Amino acid sequence: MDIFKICAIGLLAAVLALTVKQYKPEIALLISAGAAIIILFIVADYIFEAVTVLSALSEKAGVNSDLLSAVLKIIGVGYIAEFSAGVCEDSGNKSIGDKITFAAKIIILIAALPMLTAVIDIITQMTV
Amino acid sequence: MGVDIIFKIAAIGILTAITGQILKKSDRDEMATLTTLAGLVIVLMMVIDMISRLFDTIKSLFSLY
Repeated sequence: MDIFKICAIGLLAAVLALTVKQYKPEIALLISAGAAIIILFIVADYIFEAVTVLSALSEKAGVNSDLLSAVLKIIGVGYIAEFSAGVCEDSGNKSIGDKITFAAKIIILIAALPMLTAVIDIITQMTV
Repeated sequence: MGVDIIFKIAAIGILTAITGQILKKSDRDEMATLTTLAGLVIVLMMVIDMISRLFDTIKSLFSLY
Protein backbone atom coordinates (compact mmCIF):
# COMPACT_ATOMS: atom_id res chain seq x y z
CA MET A 1 0.00 0.00 0.00
CA ASP A 2 1.29 3.46 -0.82
CA ILE A 3 0.19 4.95 2.45
CA PHE A 4 3.26 3.53 4.18
CA LYS A 5 5.52 5.09 1.56
CA ILE A 6 3.79 8.44 1.96
CA CYS A 7 4.07 8.41 5.76
CA ALA A 8 7.71 7.34 5.59
CA ILE A 9 8.55 10.16 3.17
CA GLY A 10 6.71 12.69 5.32
CA LEU A 11 8.43 11.70 8.56
CA LEU A 12 11.84 11.47 6.88
CA ALA A 13 11.49 14.91 5.33
CA ALA A 14 10.33 16.40 8.64
CA VAL A 15 13.41 15.08 10.43
CA LEU A 16 15.76 16.13 7.62
CA ALA A 17 14.23 19.58 7.45
CA LEU A 18 14.71 19.97 11.19
CA THR A 19 18.37 18.98 11.08
CA VAL A 20 19.13 21.32 8.20
CA LYS A 21 17.06 24.14 9.71
CA GLN A 22 19.73 25.06 12.24
CA TYR A 23 22.33 25.54 9.50
CA LYS A 24 20.29 26.66 6.50
CA PRO A 25 16.60 27.51 7.23
CA GLU A 26 15.80 28.26 3.59
CA ILE A 27 16.98 24.82 2.43
CA ALA A 28 14.86 23.25 5.20
CA LEU A 29 11.84 24.96 3.67
CA LEU A 30 12.80 23.57 0.25
CA ILE A 31 13.10 20.07 1.73
CA SER A 32 9.56 20.26 3.11
CA ALA A 33 8.29 21.62 -0.21
CA GLY A 34 10.05 18.80 -2.06
CA ALA A 35 8.51 16.20 0.21
CA ALA A 36 5.05 17.70 -0.35
CA ILE A 37 5.60 17.54 -4.11
CA ILE A 38 6.67 13.87 -3.97
CA ILE A 39 3.61 12.95 -1.92
CA LEU A 40 1.35 14.79 -4.37
CA PHE A 41 2.97 12.89 -7.24
CA ILE A 42 2.26 9.57 -5.54
CA VAL A 43 -1.39 10.56 -5.03
CA ALA A 44 -1.72 11.86 -8.61
CA ASP A 45 -1.99 8.29 -9.98
CA TYR A 46 -4.97 7.56 -7.72
CA ILE A 47 -6.61 10.80 -8.78
CA PHE A 48 -6.15 9.85 -12.43
CA GLU A 49 -8.06 6.61 -11.85
CA ALA A 50 -10.80 8.46 -9.96
CA VAL A 51 -11.14 11.00 -12.76
CA THR A 52 -11.48 8.32 -15.44
CA VAL A 53 -14.14 6.46 -13.43
CA LEU A 54 -15.99 9.72 -12.74
CA SER A 55 -16.06 10.74 -16.38
CA ALA A 56 -17.22 7.26 -17.43
CA LEU A 57 -20.02 7.39 -14.85
CA SER A 58 -21.05 10.89 -15.85
CA GLU A 59 -21.30 9.89 -19.53
CA LYS A 60 -23.45 6.88 -18.60
CA ALA A 61 -25.68 9.03 -16.37
CA GLY A 62 -26.04 11.58 -19.15
CA VAL A 63 -24.64 14.49 -17.11
CA ASN A 64 -23.30 17.03 -19.61
CA SER A 65 -19.53 17.15 -19.47
CA ASP A 66 -19.01 20.84 -18.64
CA LEU A 67 -20.47 20.27 -15.16
CA LEU A 68 -17.93 17.51 -14.56
CA SER A 69 -15.11 19.65 -15.92
CA ALA A 70 -16.17 22.43 -13.54
CA VAL A 71 -16.00 19.99 -10.62
CA LEU A 72 -12.58 18.79 -11.76
CA LYS A 73 -11.39 22.37 -12.12
CA ILE A 74 -12.50 23.14 -8.56
CA ILE A 75 -10.70 20.09 -7.20
CA GLY A 76 -7.55 21.02 -9.14
CA VAL A 77 -7.57 24.61 -7.90
CA GLY A 78 -8.08 23.39 -4.35
CA TYR A 79 -5.29 20.84 -4.76
CA ILE A 80 -2.70 23.37 -5.92
CA ALA A 81 -3.78 26.23 -3.64
CA GLU A 82 -3.65 24.03 -0.56
CA PHE A 83 -0.14 22.83 -1.46
CA SER A 84 1.31 26.31 -2.06
CA ALA A 85 -0.49 27.85 0.93
CA GLY A 86 0.98 25.11 3.11
CA VAL A 87 4.50 25.78 1.87
CA CYS A 88 4.05 29.54 2.44
CA GLU A 89 2.82 28.94 5.99
CA ASP A 90 5.75 26.58 6.62
CA SER A 91 8.14 29.35 5.72
CA GLY A 92 6.54 31.54 8.36
CA ASN A 93 4.70 34.15 6.32
CA LYS A 94 1.18 33.06 7.05
CA SER A 95 -0.32 36.12 5.37
CA ILE A 96 0.82 35.01 1.91
CA GLY A 97 -0.69 31.58 2.53
CA ASP A 98 -3.99 33.16 3.57
CA LYS A 99 -3.96 35.34 0.44
CA ILE A 100 -3.46 32.23 -1.71
CA THR A 101 -6.34 30.42 -0.04
CA PHE A 102 -8.53 33.50 -0.34
CA ALA A 103 -7.76 33.81 -4.06
CA ALA A 104 -8.43 30.10 -4.52
CA LYS A 105 -11.86 30.51 -2.90
CA ILE A 106 -12.70 33.30 -5.34
CA ILE A 107 -11.56 31.21 -8.33
CA ILE A 108 -13.60 28.25 -7.08
CA LEU A 109 -16.65 30.51 -6.70
CA ILE A 110 -16.24 31.65 -10.30
CA ALA A 111 -15.85 28.05 -11.48
CA ALA A 112 -18.98 27.01 -9.56
CA LEU A 113 -21.22 29.73 -11.05
CA PRO A 114 -22.35 27.70 -14.12
CA MET A 115 -23.47 24.90 -11.83
CA LEU A 116 -25.48 27.37 -9.80
CA THR A 117 -27.21 28.71 -12.91
CA ALA A 118 -27.91 25.15 -14.06
CA VAL A 119 -29.61 24.33 -10.76
CA ILE A 120 -31.62 27.56 -10.83
CA ASP A 121 -32.76 26.82 -14.40
CA ILE A 122 -33.87 23.30 -13.43
CA ILE A 123 -35.82 24.68 -10.46
CA THR A 124 -37.55 27.37 -12.49
CA GLN A 125 -38.49 24.82 -15.18
CA MET A 126 -40.02 22.59 -12.49
CA THR A 127 -42.12 25.36 -10.96
CA VAL A 128 -43.43 26.66 -14.32
CA MET B 1 10.22 11.20 -8.24
CA GLY B 2 11.72 9.15 -5.47
CA VAL B 3 12.93 9.83 -1.97
CA ASP B 4 16.47 10.38 -3.21
CA ILE B 5 15.67 13.97 -4.14
CA ILE B 6 15.03 14.78 -0.48
CA PHE B 7 18.37 13.25 0.47
CA LYS B 8 20.10 15.21 -2.30
CA ILE B 9 18.63 18.51 -1.11
CA ALA B 10 19.55 17.79 2.50
CA ALA B 11 23.08 16.78 1.50
CA ILE B 12 23.57 19.98 -0.51
CA GLY B 13 22.29 22.02 2.41
CA ILE B 14 24.63 20.44 4.90
CA LEU B 15 27.58 20.62 2.48
CA THR B 16 27.08 24.31 1.85
CA ALA B 17 26.83 24.94 5.58
CA ILE B 18 30.08 23.09 6.27
CA THR B 19 32.02 24.66 3.41
CA GLY B 20 30.73 28.05 4.51
CA GLN B 21 32.05 27.53 8.02
CA ILE B 22 35.40 26.22 6.74
CA LEU B 23 35.81 29.21 4.46
CA LYS B 24 34.82 31.56 7.31
CA LYS B 25 37.47 29.98 9.56
CA SER B 26 40.15 30.54 6.89
CA ASP B 27 38.87 34.18 6.86
CA ARG B 28 37.52 34.11 3.26
CA ASP B 29 34.07 35.42 4.17
CA GLU B 30 33.09 36.51 0.67
CA MET B 31 33.79 32.99 -0.63
CA ALA B 32 31.61 31.59 2.16
CA THR B 33 28.63 33.71 1.15
CA LEU B 34 29.22 32.78 -2.49
CA THR B 35 29.19 29.05 -1.73
CA THR B 36 26.03 29.33 0.35
CA LEU B 37 24.38 31.25 -2.49
CA ALA B 38 25.53 28.65 -5.01
CA GLY B 39 24.14 25.82 -2.90
CA LEU B 40 20.85 27.63 -2.54
CA VAL B 41 20.62 28.22 -6.30
CA ILE B 42 21.26 24.54 -7.05
CA VAL B 43 18.60 23.43 -4.59
CA LEU B 44 16.18 26.03 -5.94
CA MET B 45 16.73 24.76 -9.48
CA MET B 46 15.89 21.22 -8.41
CA VAL B 47 12.77 22.21 -6.47
CA ILE B 48 11.54 24.55 -9.20
CA ASP B 49 11.92 21.76 -11.72
CA MET B 50 9.85 19.47 -9.46
CA ILE B 51 7.22 22.17 -9.00
CA SER B 52 6.89 22.76 -12.74
CA ARG B 53 6.51 19.03 -13.35
CA LEU B 54 3.86 18.84 -10.61
CA PHE B 55 1.92 21.76 -12.08
CA ASP B 56 2.05 20.18 -15.55
CA THR B 57 0.66 16.87 -14.26
CA ILE B 58 -2.05 18.71 -12.34
CA LYS B 59 -2.91 20.74 -15.44
CA SER B 60 -3.24 17.62 -17.56
CA LEU B 61 -5.01 15.67 -14.81
CA PHE B 62 -7.75 18.22 -14.05
CA SER B 63 -7.76 19.83 -17.53
CA LEU B 64 -7.17 23.18 -15.83
CA TYR B 65 -6.20 25.15 -18.90
